[in-house]
Order: sequence, then structure tokens, then C-alpha cells
Amino acid sequence: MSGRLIALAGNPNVGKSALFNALTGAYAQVSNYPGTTLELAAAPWDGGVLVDTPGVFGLSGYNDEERVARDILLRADAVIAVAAAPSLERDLFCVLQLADLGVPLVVALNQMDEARRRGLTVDGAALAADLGVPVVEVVAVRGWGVPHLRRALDAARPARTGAYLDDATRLAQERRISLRRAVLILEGDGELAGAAGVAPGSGRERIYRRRAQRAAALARQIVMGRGGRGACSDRMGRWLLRPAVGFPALAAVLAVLYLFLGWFVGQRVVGFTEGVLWGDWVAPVLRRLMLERVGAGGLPEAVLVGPHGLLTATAGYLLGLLLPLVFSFYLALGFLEDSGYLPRLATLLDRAMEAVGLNGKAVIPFVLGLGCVTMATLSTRLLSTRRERTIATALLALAVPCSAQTAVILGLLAPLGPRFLALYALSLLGVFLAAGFLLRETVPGRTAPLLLDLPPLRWPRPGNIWRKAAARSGGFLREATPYFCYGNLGLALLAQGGMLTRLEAFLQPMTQGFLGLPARAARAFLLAMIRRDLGAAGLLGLHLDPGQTVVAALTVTLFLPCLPSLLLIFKERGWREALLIWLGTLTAALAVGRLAAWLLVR
Amino acid sequence: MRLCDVRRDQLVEVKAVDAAVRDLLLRLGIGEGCRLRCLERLPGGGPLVVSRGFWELAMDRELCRQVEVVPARGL
Repeated sequence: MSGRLIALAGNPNVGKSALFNALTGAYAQVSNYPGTTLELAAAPWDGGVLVDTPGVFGLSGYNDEERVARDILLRADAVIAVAAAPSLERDLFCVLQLADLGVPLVVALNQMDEARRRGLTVDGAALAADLGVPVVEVVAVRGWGVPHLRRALDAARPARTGAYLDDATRLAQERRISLRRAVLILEGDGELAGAAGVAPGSGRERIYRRRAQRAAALARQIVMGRGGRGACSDRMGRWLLRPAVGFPALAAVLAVLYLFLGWFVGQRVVGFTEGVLWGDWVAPVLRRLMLERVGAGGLPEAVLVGPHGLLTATAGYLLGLLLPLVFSFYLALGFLEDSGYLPRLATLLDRAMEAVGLNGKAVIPFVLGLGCVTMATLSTRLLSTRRERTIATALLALAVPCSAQTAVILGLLAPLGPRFLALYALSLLGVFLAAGFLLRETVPGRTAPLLLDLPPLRWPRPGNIWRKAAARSGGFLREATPYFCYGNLGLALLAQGGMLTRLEAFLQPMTQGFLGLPARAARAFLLAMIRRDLGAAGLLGLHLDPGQTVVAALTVTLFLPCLPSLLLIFKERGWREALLIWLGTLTAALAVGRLAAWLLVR
Repeated sequence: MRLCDVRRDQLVEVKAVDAAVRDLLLRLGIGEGCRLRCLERLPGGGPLVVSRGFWELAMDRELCRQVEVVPARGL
């Protein structure tokens, strides 16, 4: 049994990642919206490897996720088909498609507790008898039934396939290919057909229709009970879709986020961690200890404990200022993700998103972008067409500030009062809409109509939110620390040789003449070329007046996408689009900065 | 009648789906004979939210226009 490749597969949001975590003890992110898993997660398990695949509604190669899932399923030694008991009528189509592939199979019926709570009975034994494979009832988030599933996998075997697949057996024998390849070729998979040297089948619709009929008949046989509608969460879920409730609820969510992040964490918590803990206690001790060893006035002092020192300024930004804010933001984001609120917000804003050439689903990457733009750029894969992914990627790169950047900007603007903060936020919204309108009119292709699964509203589990925030914050520190170190090291070395002053003088026409900022702001823009949050941190201590603060904050926010984002944009969208996005964000940042300077700086 | 024309809380049965979106919707279990309830109609031509059992789905109005339905009696 060693060395086996086991794949978890099924529809979006049925609990595959939760089951992956429960089986392996590893951590794949779990959320309550469809499309959480965008890339494969794998972990050693039971002497082999367990792979968590992205949720798909089928294996027709409609998008990248379906191709990724298909390629794993073609190689898998066994598959755990995951279905959610409350939505079994929907999930059975995918289970039957996996069954039809002829791969050794076990079915995991997840969320059995929720099905029971809703008054539904699911006859797992009848499903097992019909398919001829083990069916195990589980509650993945609580670990119930998981040991049983592990044992059942030893009895995994090919399921009884639909009678509509006789041609597949014949094709597999003729071409000496696996049954699973033959099934997908008959369903019209051009890529696999090309590899096998045959024309793709034209029977997709016939097979789908027969499979859907089989799924419906099976559902009638095994799902019993009408269940009790009208649960409080169902009513709340519906109210959130009505503009009269949905928009005030959105305003309330934003207000709570501002109070939590902007006031409580941004001022109180960070005031302590950065000002007292780091500034008064840790940094002076580090400085004294280092000066005793390296002496004052030389390069070591500048690099280690100077104004851009690695042990004082760099570590202070990262640990005292950014980490508390980034972690708190991820706690808030995790709450929103796990509650099931985001798909409802996407539905509510669907019509509004048409203004920027997108459908409501794009709301999810934009909200994720407020956490990390790189992560959000990856999540644009859940959008259906190339045009949507291009528009969303460009808008994320231009006008969506990440949590670390927001942390610093809030620190700059909050002391000036809500008027300047509102001015900044509204300007950013204006740029987002203007750029979105321009992209809608110029990016070729079509925008797919909204078709979005709405998961039930749930009260999030604190353990999952905490674990997810810790994993994401750890990822932030691992990714950001080298850039912060290299950036500050570069500035310390430039400052030491007098180069920084000369560079600032060289850039003075742009900083002072064009944007109305002090010449020293040039160092913020140099840092912003590496990471925008690092650039925003470079604005601290510049003693700007309120108008200049808004100009600098806006320009740095809209400035070039950070290096990790840019690399991902190159990978996802190709060099031509990446170059256009890079040039577009730079031009827009300088144009908006100039306009703001003209209006606000005396 | 088309799915985009149903009232809130109305229960309907799917009679036919236009060829352009038939495969897409069959994968979601929406095909001939399937019963759907309209839970919400967002104003201004916004999406419809329909349910099938406990599963809820937001569908663009244009997509709903491609689904032919007839009124169904309650379960």
C-alpha cells in the first residue's frame, strides 16, 4: 500500500480542505466560499501522498482548476470523492463523474451534522449499494468519521459505471488507454483526444444528460426528509441580499472594521507595540549592546542600528508596526470568509461591478486584496474569462492597498482626522472606478454572467480563524522580511556614501517640483519599487503637512505593484500584460499624485 | 415562462435549457425536471437567487432567460 497517490476531489465548498487537514494534520486553508483552493496542496499520508484538488463542478477542462484536478485524477491510485450531505442533489453529478472514470473510489459524505440539523436523512448504505464502493459519513471540521474513512480507503474499488459509457470501454481497449482517459475523451476533452490521436467525442451533452438523470434518481432514493426551512441563518442570508438590508450591513461591516483595525489595533495596540515595547524598551537596548561591540560612527552602526538599521528600523517596522496590524486584518478577513458573507456581498454588488467590466464574483479577489494583493492576484483564477482576470489583476495592482500598506497609511492619516482619511479613501475609489471603466472599454473579450454558489451563513470557528491568520501572517513575515532587509540595507549603504543625498537631488524635480513633497520623499519611492508597504513605511518621519500626507499616501498606494505581485502577474498574465500593468500603474500614480498636489499642496 | 420571469418564493420546474448553457447547468444538477424555488430577485436587473433543496445559487438574469420553466406545486 506504500507510495500511493490519493486525491481528494469534489464540488467547490464541500469541505475537501477540511478533510485534508483532518486526515494529514497539515494545514490547507479552509473558508466558506467556493474557490478557496486554487492550487494543489499535498502532504505525506499513510505511506503515500494525499492531494487536495481545487473544487470543480466537472472535469471538462472549462478552466485551469478543472485541468489541474483532471491531471491529478488521471494519475491517482485512488480517489476520495467528497460530497456535502445538505447539497447532495447538486454534488452527486460530480461524484458520478468520478465514479464513471473507473478509478478506485471512496465517497465521503461530509457535513452530516448540518444535514441532520436541517432534518435531512441521507442513506449512505443505499448510495454504497448503488455505486458498489465504500461510502463513509464524516464531519471533517470535527474529525468525526475520519478514522473510518482512512480504513475504508483500503477497500476502495472502481464504482459501477453508468450504462451510457459502453463506448468508453471500447475506446480504451482499441487505443490501449486507461478507461478514465477514454471517458474524458468521449466527453469532448480535446487535449486528451489529441494525445491519444483520436478526435474528441461529441457525446458530452448525451452523457451529461444521462448522468444528471442518474444523479436525480439516486438523490430521490437516498435523501429523505423535507428539512426545516426558515432557520435564522437562512433568513439572515436572504436579508443580506436585499439592498435595503445588504447596503446598511456593508456600511456596518466597514465601520466595525475601521473601529477594530484603524482605532483599536492601529492606534492602541500599535501605539504600545511600536512606541513602547519596541521604541522604548527593545530598540534602545539593542542599540546600546551593538554600539558597545561595533562602536559609533561607522558603517556597522549605520547598517545595524542607524535610521535604516536592520536591528532597529527594519525589525521595528516589521514586528512592532506591521505584524499586529496584518495579523488583526487576517483575523477580520477570516471571520468574513468563514461566515459565508462574501458570496452574498458578491451577489449584492453584481450589477455595480458591471461598471468596471466584471461580475459580482470579482468582489472576492478585491476583498482578499485588502489582505495581500499577491494572494488576491492568484485568486483571480476563480473568475471565468481571461478578460475578467486581466481587469481584476490590473485593478488589484493599481488601486487596492494591501493590509501592510494600509497599516502604515492609517498610521499617517489617522492623526489628521477622519476628513483626510475620507479624502484618501474616496480618491482611491474614484481611481478604481475610472481605471475600471477604462479597462472595461478597452480589454477585449467577454464577461461571463454570474453563477455563484451561496454557502449557508455559519458562525465561524475561532480555531480556524486563528490558525488561518497565523499561517497567513507567518507567510507575510517570510515573504516581506528579506525585501525590508535588502531595501533598508540599500538605503543605509547609499546614505553612508552620500549617494542617497545625490539621488534625492536627482529626483527632486519629481518629488518637489511635480508632487510638492520634500526631496527626502524620494527614498520612499525608491523603496516602493520593491514593495509598496515598504515605500509607505519610508514616508514615516518625513514631517509632511496634511495635504502633502494625502498626496504621498495616494501616490505610494497607486505606485508599482510590489515585486512578489509583479512576478505572479508575469506568471499568470504573460509579459505583455504585466508590462502594460507596470507602466499603467506608474503613470496613474504620478498623474493622480500631481492632480492631488495641485489641489492640496500650497 | 422563463426563469427570469418568476416571482419571489415561486416554485418552478425546469422544462428546457437553451443549448448554449445546457452543459454548464447540467453539471450543477439543473436540467429538465429539476425543481427550483426563487428566493430573491435583486432589483435593477440584478441576479436571481434560486434554491434546490438546501443549495442556493445566484444566477445572472441573462442566464435565467435561457431556462424555460413552468409553475410547480409545492413539495
